[in-house]
Parts: sequence; structure tokens; C-alpha cells
Amino acid sequence: MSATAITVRRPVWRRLIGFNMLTGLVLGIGGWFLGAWIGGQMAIGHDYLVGTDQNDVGIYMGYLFGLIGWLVGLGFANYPIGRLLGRPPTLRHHETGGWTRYFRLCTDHKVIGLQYLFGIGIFFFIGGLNAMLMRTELLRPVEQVWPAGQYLTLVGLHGTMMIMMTSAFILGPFGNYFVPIMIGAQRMAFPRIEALTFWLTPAAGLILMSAIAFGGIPFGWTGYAPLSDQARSGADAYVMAFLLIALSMTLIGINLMATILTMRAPGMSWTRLPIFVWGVLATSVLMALASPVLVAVMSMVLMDRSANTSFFLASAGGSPYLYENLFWFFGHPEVYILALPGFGIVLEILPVFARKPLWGYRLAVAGMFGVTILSFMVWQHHLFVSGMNAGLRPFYMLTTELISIPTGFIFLNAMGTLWRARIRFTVPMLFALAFFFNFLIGGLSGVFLSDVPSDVTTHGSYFVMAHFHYTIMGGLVFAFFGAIYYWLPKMMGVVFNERLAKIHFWLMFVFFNLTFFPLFAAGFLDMPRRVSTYAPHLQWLNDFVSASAYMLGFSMLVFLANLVWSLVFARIPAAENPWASRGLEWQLPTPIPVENFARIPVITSGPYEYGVTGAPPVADFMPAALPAAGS
Amino acid sequence: MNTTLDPARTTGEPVEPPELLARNIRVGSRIWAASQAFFFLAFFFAFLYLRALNTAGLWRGWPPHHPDPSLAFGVAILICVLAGAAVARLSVYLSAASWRAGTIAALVLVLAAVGLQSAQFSSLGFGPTDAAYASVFVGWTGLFTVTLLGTAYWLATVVGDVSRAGETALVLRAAAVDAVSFVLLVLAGVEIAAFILLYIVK
Repeated sequence: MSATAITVRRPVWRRLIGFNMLTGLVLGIGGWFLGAWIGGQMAIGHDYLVGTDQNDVGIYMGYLFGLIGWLVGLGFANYPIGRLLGRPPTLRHHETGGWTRYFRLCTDHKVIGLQYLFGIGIFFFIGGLNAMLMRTELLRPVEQVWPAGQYLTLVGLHGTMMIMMTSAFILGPFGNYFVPIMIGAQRMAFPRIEALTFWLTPAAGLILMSAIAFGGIPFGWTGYAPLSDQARSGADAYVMAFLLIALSMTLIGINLMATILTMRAPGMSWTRLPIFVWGVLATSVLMALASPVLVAVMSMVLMDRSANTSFFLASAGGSPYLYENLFWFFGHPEVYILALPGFGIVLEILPVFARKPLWGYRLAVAGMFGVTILSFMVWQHHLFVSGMNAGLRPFYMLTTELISIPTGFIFLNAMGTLWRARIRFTVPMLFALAFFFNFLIGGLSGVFLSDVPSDVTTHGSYFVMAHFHYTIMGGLVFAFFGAIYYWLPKMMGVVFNERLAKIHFWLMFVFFNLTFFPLFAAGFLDMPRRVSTYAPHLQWLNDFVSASAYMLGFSMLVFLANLVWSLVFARIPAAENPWASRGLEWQLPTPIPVENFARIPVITSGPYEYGVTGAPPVADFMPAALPAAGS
Repeated sequence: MNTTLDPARTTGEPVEPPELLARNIRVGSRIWAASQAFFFLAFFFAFLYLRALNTAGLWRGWPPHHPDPSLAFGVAILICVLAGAAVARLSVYLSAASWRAGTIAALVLVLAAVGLQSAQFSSLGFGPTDAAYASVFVGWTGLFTVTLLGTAYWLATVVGDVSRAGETALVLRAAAVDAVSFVLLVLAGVEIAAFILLYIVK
């Protein structure tokens, strides 16, 4: 009798006991209390550890021990302990089984991709809810629902949830799920680290939300010092959450880079690499190199707050400008950590529905890496009005304006691909096209902000807010939804309701623009960011924006309804290749087997040879001999 | 409800060529080392930036007391880190019979550096509250020590793993030692920069 035929009856309650999310939560909470107590004991007698009226050491130790408990509960300690006890090494854990593998340590990259998708989805909706609350406050020009400090916390939580907990992990669902498949590999280079990167994010999210109980984060998502140095204990939650996010991002970058560099199937030359994988590779470079700087700067804030160092305190020889420099040395590449996967997604989608080869493949790659390199040289444009040395401004103005050139390559690729194409206006294609419309507005408004004279007049206003929402939400989030509609039939094996999907798209597209375009005007009319009160004559504009924002929020409910309907009730099975795509992932059965490929395939042609007569199939899936992956 | 037994536990996982695992470890270690270099780049920048700004004339603290770490400790730590990295790197090229002694020697040297840094902290003569230089010193050296300790743990697991695996895992042994020694080399570079800035330039 084969091993797979053996079945074991276990009641549901028994499956809740063991190494899973529930155990992680219990141990995490217990760890928090233990750590807080140990931290309290550590601080006794060390006046430099308790220089203020609050014991930050205890809070940090609580978070640290809570994190350890969470990871132990999930089963991350089992492998190292097993190895200590002499068990043989293994790369994989719990890759088969039922639904419970989604709630515990599992090293199947496809499971992790789905964990990311639903995980960041939750944070996206929390961030969106914060936005609705902010728009409610802004219905009237005077303070009405939230006091100024709480409003700032709301702004901070919205920003951190959307930028750090959602957008920064945009590689999570699709990068983890599809990169190994698209390059013809059976797994990621470091599967256990891959699982760790995901399971750090719920911990970071919970810690971040705990800030509400500790006085909030009244300094926005950027956490500028000295505000973050001097804020109440909510800032500890912010610091710890950002540390975990940055660590997770670094590890994602390392893992994805190593996977793409070493595990490509035979025949998967650099010029046959799907453009989405190129986008992931460029993003991974930024993640691996920029995120450690965020770890460092958050470590400095942590030390300032807990050990009374003075990195950012001017009264003791430090400088808040140091924070701004280091934060934006990470922060501007971070903008492209958000944008580059979006470029990759839309360029992946366009040829499929244009039924033409991707125009200017090498140009697209050059554009992505041009953006990657330049993104490390532009950070000081965030400091144009901060009192920086005026002599530095021209250089950073120039580099910032230069970055529009490689970004322009991506638009050229899109236009070239769409030129004289027989376009199929499917839902993923609509989102991809909307990406270019929105990102163009975001990009053009960015030129105003890179230019010193115009930045001086618009900095800190709603103009900036409108600009980055056009690039991040109008760009990345539209690409993200395009990717969901494009790839979910393969990931989940079901078809979305197309009518609901189109309603979602049009509502989202129209009300996104109605929400954010007027904010350019609000910015020109001097409405400042992060303040809940504004000049009375701007009320009609704000009321219009709030009403549009509610409709934008409603469009997300349409998406959610479609998701629940399609996944839970309708469950119409998806065809294996509903889009007639040449992508390697679409050549596999649905659901994709645990090992992805029975044998490592041999890639025989590029992925975008649509309409090319005599183009060979994309891969030989049953090569005569089993070749070594990555060779 | 029926549960299918996890076949991975009974049938074993598919065997991948050790060359692929070795390449993953090598490439991963290079990227990890680059990440660590960028992490310490932040402290490098902090040193130069705060020293150049010298806000309120407090870079070196409140006169007449200026933080002045012991040079003897600094030199000893530097030697241990450099020697540990060099010995670990040499172990890559040693014969299978003698590499283990080399990696253990490297481990001892790295742990000695950690011990010396801890000893220096206990008799530093100043604390993290003594203005900007002291902040950079404590932050940089403290986090460097934590990183070094983590790398020592990695080195110890490499020694243990490969010793248990025996001579059948030569490819993996070479890759693992190469990986950890490369990271140590980069950390040695960081330590040289730290020594020059924190002990000589100040």
C-alpha cells in the first residue's frame, strides 16, 4: 500500500493543537508579558535606560519575546532543534495536506504566495478603512471627530498599512508564487527563509496596530525624528514593526535574487526571462540593499528611545537631518520597490491581450535597471525645503528628473506593444491600461516636485499627496488588481464573475481619479497635509473628494463580494490557460502540483512570441534526461 | 474528516543536485554580505555626518569629559576579526582532512572578538548618553558584535553539519565554508572602517 493512501482520522480541534498560528498567538502573547517583565527588571538601576517617564526597554523586550514566541509557536524552532538532535537536513516542511498548511509554517512557495495575498489584503482593507475615517474627518474644515493627535495617528496608520504592510510586500503574492514557476524551478532557493518573511508580516502588523493602545504614532508614516524620538510608547510599536518589515524585505530580496540567479531551468537564458521576473529581480536588488538601511535607522531610533543615545537629538550633538537622510536613502528606492513590480506586471499582461510580442524587451530591462540605479541617487529631493545645503539641490534635481527617462522606456514598451494590436479588453488588460493612464499623471506631477522652485511652493501640500497616490495607488494598486484578475484563475482554480469585475474596475478607475485629481487643486490652494483643519473655502472641494473616496471604498467592496462569490459560492473551475498565454505558468495543470514540474523543463523559446509564425512551444516539459536546474 | 498522511514524511523529498544547493548558498551569501555592508553604511554615514555637523559643538560630548575608548581593546578586536576572517577564508582551500581545524580556529577568533567587545563595554568609561560620538560608537560596535555573534553561530552550524555529513558532502562543505567566510571577509572590511573612524579619526 502506498504511503499516500494511508489516512488518519483527526478531529478539527486536534488539528488546532500543534505548531500553527493559534499556538503562535498564545506563545506570542505569553512572550510579550515575559519580555516586558524581563525588560522592566533590566532597566532597574540603569538610569540611562529609563531616562524618561516610560520604560521603553520593557516594551521592546516584550515585542522581542513576543516575536520569538510567535515564531516558536509557528514551528520555526523545530528545524534547528531537530538538527541539533541529529535529524537529517531537509528543505521542505508541510507542503502537502489540507487547509491547515495555510495557517502554519509551510515551505511551498505557492502556499506562501497565497498567504501573502490574503495577509496583505487584510492590511490593505485596514489601511483603506483608515482612509475612509480620515475623509470623514475632512468633511468639515474644523476638528469634528478626531482630535489633531488622533488624526495624525490615523494618517500614520493609513500610511504604514498601505506603504509598508501592503505595497512593500507586493512581491509577496506574485513573486513568491510565480517566480519559481516562471523560471522553471521547483522551489525558491531558501524555502524556510521564504516562509519566515511571510510570518514576520502578521507580527509586524499586530505590533503596529498595538500602537493605538500605547498613545498612537503622531508623526505620520515617515516617523521623522525628533518627533519619533520623543513620542509616547506608540513609537516603540512603530519602530519594532518597521524593523520587522525591513528585515522581511531584505530577506525577500535576497531569496528572490538568489532564486532567479541560480535556479533558472536549462534554456531559460536572460533574454527569455519573463519581463515580470526582470521586474522582480530589479526590485529584489533594491530590497536587499535599501531595506538594511531602514533596519539601521530604526535601530538608531530604538537606541535613542531606549538607551538615550542621541543620534537624532540636536541638543546632545545629534541631528534630525541624519534621520531624514537615512530614512529617505531607504525611502526613495522604496518608491521603486513599489513601482517596479507594477511595471513588470503590466508589461507581462500587455502582450497576452495585445497578441503581439513585447515591444522593446531589452529596452524594458534597461529601463527597470536604470530606475534601480538612479533610485539610490535621488533621495535628497525629499529634503529640498528642510534647510539642506542649497549647493546640493541642482544635483538631486537633475538625478530626479533623469529618472523619468528610464521610466519613460516602460511607456514606450507599452505603446509599442499596443501599436496596431488586436487588443482584448479583458479585466486584467483594463487594469493594465489604467495603470499607464494613472502613472502618467503621477509621473508628470512628479516632475513638478523634482524641480526645486515648484517643489518649494507645493511641498507639504495636498499636491504631494495627490502625486504619490497617483503613482502608488494609480500605478501599483491598479497593477496589483490586474495581476489578481490575471493570475487568480491559476492560483485558485476558479473564474471571477466578469461582470462584477468590470463594475469593480470602472468604479475604481472613475472614483480614483475623482478622488485624487481634485487634490492637485487643493494642493495649489495651499491645503496642508496631515492637518485635519483647513480653510473654509476648501470645504466643497473636500466634500467632493470625500464622497468620491467613499465610492472608491465601495468599489473595493464590489471586489471583495466578487472574490467571496467566486471562491465560496460559484466556484466555476478555470480553464488551464484561459488567456491563451505563452507564460510557463499557464502551461501547467490547475491546481499546480506541489513540485511544479515532474521534471525540470527545457525552455525552447521566449514567452512573448505571440503571432510569430513557426514559433516553437515555450518549453519541453518531458525532456529525455533530467537536466540540472539552473544550468 | 479524513486527512491524508504527509507523503513528504514517508517518501522523502526529491533529491536535488548538491551543486545547485552549493550555488544557492554561495550566491545567497554574497547578497547577504552586500545587505550587511549597506546596513553598516548607515553608521558610516552617521559618523561622518554628525562629525561634520558637530551640532552645538557636542560631537565629542560635553567638555571636559570626552569619550575615549581604549585603543588596546580596539586593536585586539580588530586583530581577532581580521584573523578570524582570514583563517575562515583559508579553510576553503584546505584539504578535507584539515579544514575542520581551520574553521574551528576561525570560530574561536570570532568569538574572542565578541568577548573582547563585551569586555570593553563593561569598562568603557562612557555611556550611550555621552552625545553623538558615543552614540555612534555604542550603536556601531554593539550591532557589529551582534552581527558577528550571528555569523559565529552560522560558522558553528557549518562545522557541525558538515562534520556529521562526512566526506560525502564535499561540494556542500566547500560552499558552506566559502559562504560564511565571504560574509566574514565583508565584516572584516566593516571592522577596518570602524577602527579607523572610531579609534583614530574620532
